[in-house]
Amino acid sequence: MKYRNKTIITGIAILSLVLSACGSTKDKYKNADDPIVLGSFVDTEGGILGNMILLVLEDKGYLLEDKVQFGTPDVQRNALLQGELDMGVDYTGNGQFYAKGLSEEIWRNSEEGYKAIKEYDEKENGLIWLAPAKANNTEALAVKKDFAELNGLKTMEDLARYINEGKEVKLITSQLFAEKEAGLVGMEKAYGFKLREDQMILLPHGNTAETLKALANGTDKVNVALAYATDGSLVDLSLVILEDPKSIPPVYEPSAVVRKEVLDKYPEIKGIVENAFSYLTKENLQEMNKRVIVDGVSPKVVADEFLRANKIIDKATQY
Amino acid sequence: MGRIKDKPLLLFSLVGLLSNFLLPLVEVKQNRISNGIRMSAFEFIGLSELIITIFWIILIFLSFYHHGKKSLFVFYIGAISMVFQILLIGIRGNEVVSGSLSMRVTFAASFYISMLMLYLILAESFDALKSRKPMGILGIALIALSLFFGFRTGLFSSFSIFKEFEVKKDQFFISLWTHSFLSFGSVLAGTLIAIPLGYLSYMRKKLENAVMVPLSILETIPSLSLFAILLVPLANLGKLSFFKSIGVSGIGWAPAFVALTLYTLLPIGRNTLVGFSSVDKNIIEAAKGMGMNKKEILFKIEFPLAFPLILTGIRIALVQTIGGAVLAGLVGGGGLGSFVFLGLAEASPDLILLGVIPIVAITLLMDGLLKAAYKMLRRNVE
Repeated sequence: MKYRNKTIITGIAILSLVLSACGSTKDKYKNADDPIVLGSFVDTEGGILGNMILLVLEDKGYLLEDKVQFGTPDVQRNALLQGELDMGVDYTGNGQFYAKGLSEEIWRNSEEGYKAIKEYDEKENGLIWLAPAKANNTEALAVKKDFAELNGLKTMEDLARYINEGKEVKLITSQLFAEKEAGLVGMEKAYGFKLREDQMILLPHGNTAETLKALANGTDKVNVALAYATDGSLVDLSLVILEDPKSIPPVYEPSAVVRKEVLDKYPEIKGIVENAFSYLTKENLQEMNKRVIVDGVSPKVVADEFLRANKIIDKATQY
Repeated sequence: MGRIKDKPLLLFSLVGLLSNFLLPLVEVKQNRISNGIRMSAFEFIGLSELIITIFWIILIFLSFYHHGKKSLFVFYIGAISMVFQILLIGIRGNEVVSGSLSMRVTFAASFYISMLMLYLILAESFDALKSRKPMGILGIALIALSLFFGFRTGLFSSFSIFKEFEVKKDQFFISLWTHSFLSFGSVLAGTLIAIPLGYLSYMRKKLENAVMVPLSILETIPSLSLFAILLVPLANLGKLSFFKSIGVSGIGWAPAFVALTLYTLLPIGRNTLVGFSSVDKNIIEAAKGMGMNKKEILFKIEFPLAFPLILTGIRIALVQTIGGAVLAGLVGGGGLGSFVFLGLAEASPDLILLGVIPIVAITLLMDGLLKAAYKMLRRNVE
């Protein structure tokens, strides 16, 4: 009996020592019992933007649950709506899919589009869209550099001329883009050309890593492809984007999306994240994308380098 | 034709030798995404590749001889060829890449074909080893050890799949752990549910359909649809504090785990039913005659006799689940599927391979282990 009592007391003593050691982490974090669950899109840019937010918030003393590169856009959206994620990264232009019933014109304007989705999501879903980065990752059409030089293609007007001359063209794009007024349909109307079904390859998704790979390799005779303005592989694959002076597709600026309850609890997050995002431009985002997708550097490392280079964080990071 | 004693060996070695000469062995890429320069084995490695050619010729030569003593020789030549080829590519790859972060070497057709041929040759000669099996197992261990050694000393650092691994090392091991938890965990949970269910269907004939038909219907539901169906109930369950604390929600590991468990119920349940049904009624009668009560008969006679078949059901469920757990990556559940989907998103075949190769390796390993366990059990039972 006595022996058993001693064991129990020793056990409790050890357990309390262990627990107190764990407890000391409470002082380290502003939200020790309530980590902020952060997600982002599974693609390259999602990795960079997600890690940027992760690093900058951790630097300011917040505890986060790292779900960066969580999944495809619809999976992240669902998770935010369900409350499975506290925070995510989305694009203002995607508001066209979330806030139904608004005119397509709104999304082609940076301020109006942001205002529209901000109001809609705050009212309907309790989701707050923070100020977006001024880096319009919009949709565009890309061609090979040699092809452009050979055929004198610089803008969409040139492409329209090329197509109307009956020359060989094969476009690879997402079905969604091909059917939208703020997409291919609008471009065809604005620049005066029309592509037949056999001149298009339609994919069920908008994964430009695939479309650009097909373009670069000339798979299936593809010579025009859907691209995003900040795609990192453009330069290395010798691809150029055709200028779109009439700006047909929506404006897609990256913006952090936070659940209202979380932002109310930790309002300083807004300032921290918006500050970090304010340093982003189309050019440096594209450069970061390139480092990840072409050079194969980890997105966390690239995000960290960016934050340090711009003196947004300076403490040592553990990764 | 009668002079060729080992036709499979001849076929495999010929295919291997031809691919060595005619097809590209590797593709040297400047960076992760652009197409690279394809090179055949001799273009890339040079004259050292002759060692491998000689090995192929020896194997062709050996196919004119009968089995028996030669199997061990064939096995070791095959094993050495496999290791040497990979090492040669690694050494030359390091020279070519020489420290560049983005430049890398990817395997091409001839590599995959010769590895497949060597695997077939190894499998065939291993089966023929009979009493010399321990030597064969030693050979497999040596292959694994030399590859591990090469990996650790940086001999494979120019391989594109290795470069992807380096960048995502931490995520890889976390995914591996999550994947194992999902696969083994759900098979364990399924076993705990399905064995009683199977036994129940055996005991009461009336319940057989009531149990087996729903399970069969479950099996036919496509995995993604099942995840979608589970989304709402699990999301609601996740609102209760106990379930929230263990991470149950509409997305994440929970729907994957539940769905995978549900899929294991049919193979394990059905095999349990068949296993018990296959026990010879005479043995049970004899046991009753000896004075054993119901519980003793169940645990000492019926269950041990039924177990080999139940184990087969578990093996089938496990093989099915290790692969099926890939889909967890689609609902944010982690596991090796995240690499597969990341690879699809970034159009990087190496990331996809990084997810798929471990799955295949673990599946083959578990399948082999459980088959061996089954053979041992059958021998004991008889």
